[in-house]
Amino acid sequence: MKQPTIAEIDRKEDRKARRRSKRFPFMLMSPFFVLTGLFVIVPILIMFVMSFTDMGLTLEWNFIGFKTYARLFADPALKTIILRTFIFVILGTICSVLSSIFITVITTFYLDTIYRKENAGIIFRIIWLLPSLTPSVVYAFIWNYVFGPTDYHLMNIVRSWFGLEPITWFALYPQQILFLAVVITSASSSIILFSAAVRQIPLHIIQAARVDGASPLYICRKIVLPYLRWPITQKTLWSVLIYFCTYEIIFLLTKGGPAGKTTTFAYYVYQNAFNLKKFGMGAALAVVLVAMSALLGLLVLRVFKVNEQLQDPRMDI
Amino acid sequence: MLIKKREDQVKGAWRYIFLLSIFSLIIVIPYAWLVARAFTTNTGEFTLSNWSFMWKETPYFRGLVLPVVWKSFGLSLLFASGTAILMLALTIPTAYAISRTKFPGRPLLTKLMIILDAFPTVALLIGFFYVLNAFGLMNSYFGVILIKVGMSLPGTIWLMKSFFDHVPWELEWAAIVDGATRFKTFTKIIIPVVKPGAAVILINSFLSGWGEYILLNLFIIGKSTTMSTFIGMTLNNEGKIAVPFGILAAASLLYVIPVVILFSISQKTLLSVQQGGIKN
Repeated sequence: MKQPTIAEIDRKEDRKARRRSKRFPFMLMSPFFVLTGLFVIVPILIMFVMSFTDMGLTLEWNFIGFKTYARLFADPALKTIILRTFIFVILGTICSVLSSIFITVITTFYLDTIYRKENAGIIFRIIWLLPSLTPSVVYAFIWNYVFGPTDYHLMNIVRSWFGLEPITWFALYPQQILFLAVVITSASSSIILFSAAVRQIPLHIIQAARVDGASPLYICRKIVLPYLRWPITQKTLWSVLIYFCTYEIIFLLTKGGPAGKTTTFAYYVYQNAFNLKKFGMGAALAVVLVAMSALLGLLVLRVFKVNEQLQDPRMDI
Repeated sequence: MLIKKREDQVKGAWRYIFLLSIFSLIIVIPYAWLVARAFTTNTGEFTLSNWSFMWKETPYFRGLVLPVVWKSFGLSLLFASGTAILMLALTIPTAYAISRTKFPGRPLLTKLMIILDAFPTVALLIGFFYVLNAFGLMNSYFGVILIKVGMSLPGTIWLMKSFFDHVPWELEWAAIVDGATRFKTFTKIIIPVVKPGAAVILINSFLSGWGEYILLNLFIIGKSTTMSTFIGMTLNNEGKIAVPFGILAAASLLYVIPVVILFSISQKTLLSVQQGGIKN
C-alpha cells in the first residue's frame, strides 16, 4: 500500500480543519435555532394558518379563506381601536422619553457631574427604577390601590380631606390612569441606558466648558443632549414598538374597559383569542398586528444601520 | 470668590433636588402607601396581623384559601433562576458565534434577530398552546420557562453580542497562537472577559422570570402557585380586590423586596456596564 505523502496528509488535515471551522458557528448556535424555531417560528406559522379559519371554542380547523379578514376590516369598532392605539403610542412615547431625559439630565448631569451630589443622584435613580423592577402584578395592584373605588383608597382619602364623596376613578378616568401607569414604567426602563450614555461624556469636556464660563444649562444643551442623541433615537423607536405591543398591564389594570375605552390593538388581539375564545379572529388580528409592527421594525433596521454594527470577524480559523 | 462660588453651587443643587422630589412624588406616594398599608388596618392603626399569611393559610373568597406563602416564594425563585440560567446558557454561545465567526447568512440572521425581538408577543400566545401540547408540556413550569427563553432570546443575544464586540481580538489571537482550539479560547479566555455582560443578562432575565404573570396564568391553567399568581389570584374577575388590602399589600411587599435587594447589590454592574447599542 502506498504511503500518503506529507503534502497529502497536510491537505487532508487542512480540509478537515476547514470543515470544522465551518461547522463551529452552527454548532454554537444550534440550541438557539431549536428553541427559537420551536417557540417563535412555529407559533408564527400556526397563527398564520389559523387566521384563515374561524376556529372557536370547538378548536376545529375549519378553513374559510379570507373571510375572517373581510369580517375584521368590516368591523367599525376596529377603526376606533386603531386610532386610539396610535394616539396611545405617540403620546406615550413622547411623554415617557421626555420624562426620562429630564430625570437623567437632572440626576446624572446636574446632581452627579455639576454639583457632585452623587448620593442624591443615586437615590433618585433608584426611585425612578422602581417601577420597572416591580413585578407587573404588584405594579397594577399599587395603582388599583391608589385609585380604588372605596373610601379606604388613597385618592378617595385625599378627596375626603376636602369633604368630597369617594368616586370610582377607574370608571371615570380609565384612560388617564392607564396612561400614567404605562408612561411611568416606560420612562423608568430608559433610565439605565440614558445614565450610561451621560456617564460616557469625557469629564474634561464639561470642565473645559465650565472654565470658559458656560452655564450648566448651556452645557446641557450643547454637550449632553448631543451625546444622548443615539440612545434617544434607539429608545424612542423601541418605545413605539413596546407601546404598540402592550397588553399585560392593560389586562391587569382595566381589562380594556370600561366599555372598551382602554382597548388598544394588542389588547384587542388578546381579548379575542383568550377572553372571547375566537381563535380564528384572534389569529387574523394578530397577523395584522404583526404586519404593522413589522413595518415599524423595518424602520428600526433602517435607523440602526444593523450592517454597520456587524464587525467583520478578522479570523478565519 | 472661589468659596462664594462653591456655596452658590450647593444652593443650586437643592433647587434641582427640590424639583426632582416634586416630580418623583408620583412614584414615592404610591409605593409609600403600599408600605404604609402593609402595616396598618383599614382604619389606620398599626398592626402586624397583615403578615399572618407568612405562617398560615389565609381565607379569601367564598371559602377558598391562599396557601402558605413560602411555597409560592420558593417556586418563584426556582422559576426565575431556571429562566436566568437557561437564558444565559443559550445566549452566550449564539452571541459569540454572531459576533466573532464568519458563516453564510450572518447579516440576514442579525436582521432576523432584531425583527424577532420586535415581534409582538401577544401574537405568539395562540401558537404556544399547540407547541406545548405537542411536547406534553402543558401545565408544566418547564414549558413556560422554554417559552419565555425562546421568546426573549433574540433580544438578549443582540445585547450580549455587543459585549463580545468589545473584547479585543488580540486576546483571542494570543490564545490561538499559543495552540488553543477555538472552543478552548472561547471557554477559557472570552467568557471571563464578558462576565459583566453575562451578569447583566442573568439579572435581567431573573427579574423578568420573577415577575412573570401572564404566561404562567395562561399555560398553567388554574394550578400555578408562584408569587405572581398568589397575588394575581386575589384579584377577582372584575379586577377588584377580594382579599383584605393589608394582607395583599404585605404580600406584594414580600414579593418586591427581593428584587430591590438584588438590584441594590448589582446596581454598580448594571449602571456601569455599557448597554448594547450605545456605541455609534
